[in-house]
Amino acid sequence: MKLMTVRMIALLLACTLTTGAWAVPQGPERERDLLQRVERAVDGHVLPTLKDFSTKARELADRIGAFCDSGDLAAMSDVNDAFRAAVLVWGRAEHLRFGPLQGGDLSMRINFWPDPRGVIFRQMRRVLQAENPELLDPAVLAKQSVAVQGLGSLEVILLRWSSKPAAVFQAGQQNYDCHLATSIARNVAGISDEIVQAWTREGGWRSRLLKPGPKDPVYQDADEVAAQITKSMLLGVAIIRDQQVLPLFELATGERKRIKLPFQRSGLSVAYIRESVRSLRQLHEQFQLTDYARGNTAWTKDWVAHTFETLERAVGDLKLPHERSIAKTDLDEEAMRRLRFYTNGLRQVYGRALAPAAGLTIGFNELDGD
Amino acid sequence: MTLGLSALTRPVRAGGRDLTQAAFASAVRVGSGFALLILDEAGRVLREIPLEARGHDTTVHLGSGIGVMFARRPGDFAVAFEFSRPTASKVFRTPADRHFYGHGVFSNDGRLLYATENDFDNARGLIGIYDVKAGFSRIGEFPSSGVGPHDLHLLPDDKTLVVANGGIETHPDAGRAKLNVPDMQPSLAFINREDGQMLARHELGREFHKLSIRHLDVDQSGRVWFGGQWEGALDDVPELVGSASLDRPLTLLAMNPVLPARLKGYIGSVALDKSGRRLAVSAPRAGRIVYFDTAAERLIGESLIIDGCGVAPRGRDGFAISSGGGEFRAAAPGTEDVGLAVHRGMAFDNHMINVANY
Repeated sequence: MKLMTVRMIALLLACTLTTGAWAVPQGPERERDLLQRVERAVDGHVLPTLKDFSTKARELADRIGAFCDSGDLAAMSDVNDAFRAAVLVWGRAEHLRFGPLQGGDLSMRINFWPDPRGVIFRQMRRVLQAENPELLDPAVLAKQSVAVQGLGSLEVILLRWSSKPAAVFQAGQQNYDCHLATSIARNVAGISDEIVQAWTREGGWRSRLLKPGPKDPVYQDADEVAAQITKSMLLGVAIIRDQQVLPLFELATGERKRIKLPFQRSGLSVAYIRESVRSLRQLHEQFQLTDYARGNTAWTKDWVAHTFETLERAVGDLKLPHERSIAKTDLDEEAMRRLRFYTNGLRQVYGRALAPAAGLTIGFNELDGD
Repeated sequence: MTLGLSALTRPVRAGGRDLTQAAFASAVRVGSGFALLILDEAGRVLREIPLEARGHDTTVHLGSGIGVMFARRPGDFAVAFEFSRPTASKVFRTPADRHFYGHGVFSNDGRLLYATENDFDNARGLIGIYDVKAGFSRIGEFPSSGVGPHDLHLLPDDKTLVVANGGIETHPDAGRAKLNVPDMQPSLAFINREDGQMLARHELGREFHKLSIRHLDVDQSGRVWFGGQWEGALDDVPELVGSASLDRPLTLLAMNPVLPARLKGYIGSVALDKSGRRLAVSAPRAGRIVYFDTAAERLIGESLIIDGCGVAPRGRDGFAISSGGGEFRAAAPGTEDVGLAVHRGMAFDNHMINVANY
């Protein structure tokens, strides 16, 4: 499909909005259909993603523990591999801020991001200088600032190790960094287990999403849970657009001089964006809200599928030779503009055309109020 | 009084409409763009002023006939306009290292405008001071006594500003992401506008530290009513509405225990009626606007309106309410809402004000 301009999408949206929504089927059949979609989204996307993160977080904690116990610097690559694996799965999970992740505390403890003022680095520098032994207990660490207890703080330690590998072990003994890294990794693994438990236990969030009812204060009917999945999609697109694509675009156009992308210092930011996009595409494929696209929204069915495919390919083509220090000259402004266009378009189409087509109320004010 | 200075935006729909009938103002989304609407009592559009991006709240100085609409955070623009004359409007901005939070208020003499702002590189809430006669030039600032200041009002003494410090840190480089939810500390601060000195700062208890105090209205006695937005788990939502005054701490209005969660933990706008006896608060995520008797401190009714958020006093003891679906209604507790206008293709944004109520 030839690239549509923003103006074309706006025109299509305007037509969609002014000519009125297609009649949405009502009644028990629609309710059943929405709940089946939610079940597919939960069992085919939400839970596999969170379980995968829990597994990867546990492996990371084990690898760090084994590395520090061994005193063998050659095992550091195992740690870096495990860190990369955990970070990239977190890139697939960042938009799942509902259920136990609603409110943001747990997700910020797993990874305090965005961090525009460099709080992680400042606080970790103080922690590593102070060498407070109490923080080596994950239960104590869990009560400290979110900036020192997640993947971002672990990244600071791993980067120290990469720059001065000989300093990791002093006379064959683990140093404070090693103990703290183990504590942080165990803390993250513990949080990820807690999240999976909250989803899967009897009466947990899986059950609440699949069986909403008037007694549940959060989810009372099929519309509310289907709207929740849609909002998660919209949040995910907003995160990619605002925290990943826009910084690149504004660097390319000269509007910003420096940018910070997630896990950029580890050289993982492009892979992180790629995983974020893949994850949203998977959610879309499980949820398939485009099945409700009819009449004046029929065009969105192909458009969304094509846009996810194109976005994934465009992010896959993104090559940054100096990822840790990206410069304007590394970027193709037109390619960045297209990334911005795809993410803007997806958010508009999902929120303003598809959700109404499915009869879901995701209002202008409720979605992004202030 | 004209705004003079260079006109940066142009009124596009004023011809033939009697702007002396101006009654309400609200930001709207129109198609893929944004505008400020001036409406009459029946919700008819008298004037539409295009905005460069999404607007938030409006404040008015009745005596001089001037209003100002502020950009939604993290926007850096504000638009000054005359609400009863079709003169050109004027855009003014924050300095480059600040942005607006969407709300502001005039001094009673109309000479100064105070706006909530973010010194984002230092995570510091500020009140910016603008000289109206000098073309809204920024002449100073003082701390808001908290992080993430949002709504602010002037008490009837014309001296004390009350500021809702929502407690949430944001930074434009991070879009609209909330950066400090686990550690947020909202407060209601009373500040002498003449010297910037904090007169009182009220906080809720530690268990309520995730209740972001966001929107305010003030009655003639100086009692401040507020609506909050809960940033914690939806199973733990506390009461969302309360009051305080300069010398009286924050108290939350008792609600039916299930109501806060039913309101989805989110109050979008707050308005007293003209008598101050009734309070309307909107819960757009729940599609409800609920009304309280302020003396008895009890719930007295509700309106059901999908994506309803704007509330403003209308008539002696009623309200105008607006929605993201372009609806404009007259409403009052205990009576059926009266739909007055539906603006297809327009979405009313979070706040609506009654121009004559200032």
